[in-house]
Amino acid sequence: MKELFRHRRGLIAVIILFFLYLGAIFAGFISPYHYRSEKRILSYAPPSKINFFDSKGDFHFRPFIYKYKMSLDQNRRRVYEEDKSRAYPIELFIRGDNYKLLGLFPADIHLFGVAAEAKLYLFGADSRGRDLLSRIIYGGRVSLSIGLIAVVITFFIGLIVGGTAGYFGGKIDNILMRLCEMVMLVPGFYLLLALRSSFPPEIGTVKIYFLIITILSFIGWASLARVIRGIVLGLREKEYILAARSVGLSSFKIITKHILPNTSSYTIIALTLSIPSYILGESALSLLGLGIQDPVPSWGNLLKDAMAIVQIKLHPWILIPGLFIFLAVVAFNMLGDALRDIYDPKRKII
Amino acid sequence: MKSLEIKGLNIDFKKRNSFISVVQGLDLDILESEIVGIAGESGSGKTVSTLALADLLPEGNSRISYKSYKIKSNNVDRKQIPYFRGRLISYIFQDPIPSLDPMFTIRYQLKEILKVGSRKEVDDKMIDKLLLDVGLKDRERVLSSYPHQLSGGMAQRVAIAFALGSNSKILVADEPTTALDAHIKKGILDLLKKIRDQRGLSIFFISHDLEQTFYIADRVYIFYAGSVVEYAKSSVIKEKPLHPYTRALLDCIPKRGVDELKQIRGKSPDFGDLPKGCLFYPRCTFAMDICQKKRPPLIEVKKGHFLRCFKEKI
Repeated sequence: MKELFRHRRGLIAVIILFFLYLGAIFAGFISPYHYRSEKRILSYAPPSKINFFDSKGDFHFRPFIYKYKMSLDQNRRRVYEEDKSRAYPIELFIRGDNYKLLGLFPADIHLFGVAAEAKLYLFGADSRGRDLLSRIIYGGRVSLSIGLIAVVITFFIGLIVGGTAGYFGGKIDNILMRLCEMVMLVPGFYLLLALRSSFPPEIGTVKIYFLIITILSFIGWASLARVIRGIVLGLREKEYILAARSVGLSSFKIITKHILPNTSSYTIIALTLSIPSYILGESALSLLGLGIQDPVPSWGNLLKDAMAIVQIKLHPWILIPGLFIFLAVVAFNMLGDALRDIYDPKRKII
Repeated sequence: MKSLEIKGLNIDFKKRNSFISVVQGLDLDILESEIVGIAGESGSGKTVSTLALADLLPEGNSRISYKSYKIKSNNVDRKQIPYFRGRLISYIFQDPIPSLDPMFTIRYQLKEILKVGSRKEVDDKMIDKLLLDVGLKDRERVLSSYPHQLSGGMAQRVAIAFALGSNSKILVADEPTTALDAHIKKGILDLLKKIRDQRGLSIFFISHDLEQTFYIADRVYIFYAGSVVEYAKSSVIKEKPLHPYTRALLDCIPKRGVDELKQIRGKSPDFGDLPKGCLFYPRCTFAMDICQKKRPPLIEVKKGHFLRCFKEKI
């Protein structure tokens, strides 16, 4: 752990991930609005301007915003201006939409916000006038947790299959590895689509959530099992395994207590490095409308609006969720690289 | 009473698609609380034949067969043998540190083994007593260490403690001193002797170092290319080695005051292409015509002194 904090890129990654997960866990508290809260008149409102100087040029310590004023131009396109008649200061711990803290405790205190008449849209609004920032923070709950859970399931299957194949060898090895190859043979993304399409498109959000996890882990375990098998083949010949056999430990105990723990320096790294692919997998499914369905946000389906190039041109802020995917993916990759540097001194480059 | 007796042991290893024989018709026995030395050069089948005693050879790549396997004069079925691991036979290996799992502390591993051995709850007293028995003084430090934090000698003592913890009657010590520094070798040898005296354990002591073998063992088998070429009480062989190979091995021991180091000419035979006659014939300085044609049998030349060589007979 200490070494991780001394590793510069590792430290950056840990900090980024810490804030991302903190946001996902306390989404209700940190986001100024509920993800469902909408104001259709403010469709595609641009990000709120945060002011420190009022119209008279006086400085205010507490930043404030103005209300949006919507009008239509000659092309009947919405134009937003600031209504400077009244300033709305940004307040901390303000009462707002109801939510449940950690999904348990009803609450309505938000970290920051403005009085209810005005709307604080730091990242702008989406097509239905919902706060993009709040939706991104809520979306992290789905996108960041799917990666973690899917990776745990993948590793569970991968370790058992790889460990068994590597330790016993022979026929068992042959059968299990051919099975892995059959899964790997199909290009990942098409398998993802095919598996998803074997279930009805309109099912509950929770069901879809677990469906995506299952599909993602079904695709991922094979390549991991193959690598684990390779490592176990090497570990099997180690003297301490012979020693463990010579004191009469059962094969099951040898695999679970002595072989698999010794693969951990590899597995921890591989685990970290494979989380991004799960996040991207979920995003891709949701982007195509096969994953998490609106109104529940995920980073993938938030990008759905951005599929039309004209929307990006007119409202560039709808690309911000992509930035969060990018951040999470880069952070996990950096963390994985840092862990590799720390755990595997032979391959150290620095 | 004979603690273990095996007759006519054959071991074959798979090479590509055929099996080659690495141990041929081996007879081996050990009395209760006896130390039996097994000496020979690398690849002579010392380790392989002792691993076969608990069926520890890699499955699929090896084939074992024997005429009879007796524990205290009771015949044992082949299927029962894996059950002996850690209950009847336990092992100490050449390199102590790699034979301990690097991921766990000594305490964790010792407890694990004690659980297999005793099937009871393990308390700290048992652990303390074990470590005391193997002469480890700084017990707290050793117990909380990981294998790489121990010195070779300490790790070997820990490995011996593991073997004792499993509560078996026969200990196979496979070159337990080879990886250690010269000055602590005697300590390990004396410890093995002490354990034998205190616990009445039978010990197979495998080594390529005849001096150590003579020091510790009551009886010595000399192995060459998968078969026994000579065996007798260690004092007998020490006084009067008969087989040319035994003599050659003894000549190879460096002596103080003698600058010249000796080696045995040639190399040990390829198991895929064994000589038709005596296996040692190509390297033997006393070779005769008959040695090339016929393989000598193992015969008792004096009481308790067995030899596989034509020279003493003719």
